[in-house]
Amino acid sequence: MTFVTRYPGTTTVLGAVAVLVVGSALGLPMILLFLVAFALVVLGAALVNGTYVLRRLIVVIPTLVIVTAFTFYLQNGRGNKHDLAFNILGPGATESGVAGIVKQFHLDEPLHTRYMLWLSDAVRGHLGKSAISGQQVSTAIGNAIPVSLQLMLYAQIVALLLAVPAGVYAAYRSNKRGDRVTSTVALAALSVPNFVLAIVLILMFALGGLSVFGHKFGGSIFPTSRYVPFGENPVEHFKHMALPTLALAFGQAAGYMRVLRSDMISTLQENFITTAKAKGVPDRRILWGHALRPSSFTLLTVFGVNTATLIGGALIIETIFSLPGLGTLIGTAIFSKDFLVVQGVVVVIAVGFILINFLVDMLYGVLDPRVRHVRA
Amino acid sequence: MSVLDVEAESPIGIQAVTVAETDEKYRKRKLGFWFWASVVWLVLLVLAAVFAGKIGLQDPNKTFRNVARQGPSGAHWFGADNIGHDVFSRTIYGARRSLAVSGVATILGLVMGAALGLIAGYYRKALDGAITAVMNILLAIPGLVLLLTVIAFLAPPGKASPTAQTVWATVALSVLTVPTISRVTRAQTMVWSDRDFVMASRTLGTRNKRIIVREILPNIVPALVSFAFVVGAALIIVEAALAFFGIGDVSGVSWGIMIQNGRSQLERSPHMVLFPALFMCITILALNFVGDQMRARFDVREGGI
Repeated sequence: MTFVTRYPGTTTVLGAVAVLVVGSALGLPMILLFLVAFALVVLGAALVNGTYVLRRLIVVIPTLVIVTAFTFYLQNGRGNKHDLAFNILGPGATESGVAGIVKQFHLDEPLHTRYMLWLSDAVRGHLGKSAISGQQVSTAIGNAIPVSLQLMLYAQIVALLLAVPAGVYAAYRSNKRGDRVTSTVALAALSVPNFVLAIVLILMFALGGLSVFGHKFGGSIFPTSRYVPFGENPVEHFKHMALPTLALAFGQAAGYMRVLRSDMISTLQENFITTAKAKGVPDRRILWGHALRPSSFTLLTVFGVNTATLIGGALIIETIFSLPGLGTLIGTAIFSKDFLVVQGVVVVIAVGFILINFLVDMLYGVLDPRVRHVRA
Repeated sequence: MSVLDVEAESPIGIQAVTVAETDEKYRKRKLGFWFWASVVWLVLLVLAAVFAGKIGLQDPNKTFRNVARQGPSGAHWFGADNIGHDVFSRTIYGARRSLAVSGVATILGLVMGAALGLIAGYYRKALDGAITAVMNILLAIPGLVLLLTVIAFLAPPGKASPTAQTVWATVALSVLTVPTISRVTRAQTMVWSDRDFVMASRTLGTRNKRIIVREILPNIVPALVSFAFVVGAALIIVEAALAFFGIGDVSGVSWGIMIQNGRSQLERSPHMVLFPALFMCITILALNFVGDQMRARFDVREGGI
C-alpha cells in the first residue's frame, strides 16, 4: 500500500499495462482497453504533476479529432460515391449492389456528416467493418497489435544494448581514436536505410550467403518471411523475428549512441564529476553510477519518439518480412482504399503516440529528482 | 577499464582543461579530408546525374542481348539486370530523380519550416503556442502513413499522370520535414532574438519584419544550411522507400525502383540491388557527414558566446 501512495505514477502505469495485457488476452475490444489504460495513465500523471497534465490533456482531444478528420478527408475528399462501391464490388458490380454499398457506408451524405457519423461510432467503440474482408476493424487491429509491439520491443532492447555501452565508451574516450572509430561506425550505420539493411541481411543470413569475388559470407541461418506467434513455438518465434529486429535496431542504435555520447560529454564536465574523481571513485563507477543517469534525457526523448512511431508498425520492415503487424495492415488498407481500417489504425497510432509522450514526461521525473521537485 | 583508472590523463575530471583546448583547436581546425571527399562525391554525383545523357553512358532503357542477370564485366561495369538493362547507367540516371525530388522537397520544407519557426520564435506567446500545437499534430501522424495516404488518394497510381504523382510526392515529402525544421529554427530564433543587438535594433524603432529578415535570419542561416544536408539525406531514404512501395511514378528509373525490382532476383543476381543501394548509402553518408561537420562549426553553443 505504501508503494501505491508513494509512487502513484508508476502504479497507474503498471495498471494500464496490466489492463492492456490481460484485456487483450481475454479478447475484450481493443479500443475500450486503450481508453481505460489511457484514463489510468492520465490519472497517475495528474497525481504526480497536477495541473501540468491537465494542460497537456486539453491538447489531446483536439489532436485526435484533427488527425482523424484529416485522414478521413484525404481518403474521401476525391472521387465520387460510386468509386468506393466499384472498388469493393469489383468490375462486375450491379446497380443494386452499388446502391447497397452507398447506403451501408452513407456515401450519399456530405463529407462532414459522414465524418461525424464515423466519430460518434468510434467514440462508442465501434470502428466499423473492413469494406474488403468484412472483418471487424477492431478485431483486425487487435490481431495486428501484438506483432508490431513485439517487433518494437525487441528492436528497442537490442538498440539500447548496442547503443548505451558504445555511447558511454565514446564519451569516455571523447576525441580519441576509440571515440572516432565508434562515432564513424555510428554515422555509417545511420546512413544505411533499414530496407537496404533488411535486404542485405536476407541475402547474407537467409538465402545462403553473399558471395563477393568467390568468397561466401554468411549462410542460411535464419528463415525468412513468416510470422510464428510466441505462444506457438518460442524458439521459432525468435528465429523469425531475429532479422527484422536487427534491421530495425541497427539504425536506431546509431541514433541513440550519438545522442548519449554528446550529452555524456557535457555531463562529464560538471563539478560533481570532478568531486567524485577527487574522492577517488573509480572511472567505471563514475560513468555508470554518476554520469549515465543525468545524461540520458535526450536519449529518453528520442527513444520515446521512436517507440511511438514503431507502435504504428514499421511499415517497410513488416512488409519485407511478411509480418502481419499494424504496418502491413494500414499499408494494404491504404492501397485497397479500405478507409475504415485506415481510420482505425490511425486512431490507435495517434493514441499510442500521445500515451508514450506522457510516459516519457513522467520518466523525466523518475530519472531526475530536480524535475520531480519542481513540478510536485 | 581498471587499467584505464591508473592512466595519468584519465578523461574524467581532469578532462575539463583538455576539452577546452580541443574546442579551441576544433574551431580553427580545417574541415578535413573526409569532408572534402564527401563534397567531391556529391558534386560528381550531381554533375553525372545532370549530364547523364552526354557522358557516353549506355541508354538506361536499352536491353542488351545475352547479358541478362550477368554480374559486373568490362562492357557492363555493374552487370545487367534481369531483362538486360545496364545497371551502371541506370544507377547514374536513377540518381536524377532521387536527388531532384529530395532536393526540391528539402528546399520547400526549409522555406516553410523556417518561416514558421521564425514567426513562432520571434513573436512567442499565443502565436508560438498555435504554431507549436499545429506542428505537434503533424508529428502525431506517422510520416510514411501520411505520405502513403496523401499520394495514394490525391494521386492514385494508374490514374494520375507520372508528373502529377512526382509533384504530389515532392509536396508531401516537404510537408513531412516542416515540423522538425520549424522546431530547430524556433529554438535558434529564440536564442538570437534575446541578444543585445536585436534589442538595440528594436529600441531604434525597427519594424519586426525587418528585424527578423535583417538581424535574425542571417544568423540562423548557417545552422539551417547544415541541417538541410541532414534533412536531404533523410528524404533520399524516404523517397526510395516510396518507390520501394510502388507509390508515385514507378515507370522511370530511380534507386528505390531498382532496389524493389532487384528484390525478387536477390538469389541469382544480387548486384541488381547492391550497386544502387551502395550508391544511395554513400550519398546519404556524404550528406550526413557534411551536415555534421558544418553543424560542429556553426553550432551556437560551441561558438562559446
